[in-house]
Amino acid sequence: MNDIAILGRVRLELPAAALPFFTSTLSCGFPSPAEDLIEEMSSLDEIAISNPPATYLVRCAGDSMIDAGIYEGDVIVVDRSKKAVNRSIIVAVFEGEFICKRLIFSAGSVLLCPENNNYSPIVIKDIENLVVWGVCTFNLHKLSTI
Amino acid sequence: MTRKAFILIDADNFYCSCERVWRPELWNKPVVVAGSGDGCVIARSPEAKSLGIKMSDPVHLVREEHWRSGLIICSANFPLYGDLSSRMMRTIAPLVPALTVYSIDKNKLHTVDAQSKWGIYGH
Repeated sequence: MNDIAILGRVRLELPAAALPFFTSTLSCGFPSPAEDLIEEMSSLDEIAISNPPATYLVRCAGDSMIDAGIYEGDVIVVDRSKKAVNRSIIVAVFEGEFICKRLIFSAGSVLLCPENNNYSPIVIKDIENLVVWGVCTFNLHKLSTI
Repeated sequence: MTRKAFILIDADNFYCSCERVWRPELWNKPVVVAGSGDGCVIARSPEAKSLGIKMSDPVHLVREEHWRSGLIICSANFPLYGDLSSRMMRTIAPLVPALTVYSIDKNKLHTVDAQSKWGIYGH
């Protein structure tokens, strides 16, 4: 199960200090020479948060979503104002627990699917038992372990 | 002639609703929020209201009388309510030309003239 933990409040205003935003698409092979293409100043909030009053940061636990790139300890950005659609990764309340899963509508049934072959999808028999708490829009994953 | 319309928004059982955002175990249960050093009831969920619990009832009496009904008593968490109140006001603010924040869960919308750029007042 991917449990989640509350991290606290999201800052509702954008910070004064902004980061330069490069317009070049980063190739993961070698660095692009076009680094003079600074288009605008941006911030992590601006990139990851489209509706601040509806956005919450939550920390994930568990390994059920690793094939979607969500690992233990990652911080996911959850937007409560977004409508969940087929294949959205959502924070749901199911049987009184918060869980992070992929929402799948398939042949008349509703599934909460883990992204890890060691776990089975949860079949939602009674849609009344499922509450979509919010839609996960970004994942903040630490790449370096140092 | 300018016709003015005012809308009053008052969030339902605001402190109880805030407690419920992160605590599904409180959903559909009788919940009260206790203020003044857990002395008296300052918010009641609809289920708590139908148990006959009144605003400002002493918490020790309410606990004695209703614990068998599964009443859940939460200590007031004002930073949480302040955060959710601010989120509520910021969600409403872009929809109206002016907004007066009256209290943590009440405000008045002035829907007068979409062109006017009135400020947002709060206290």
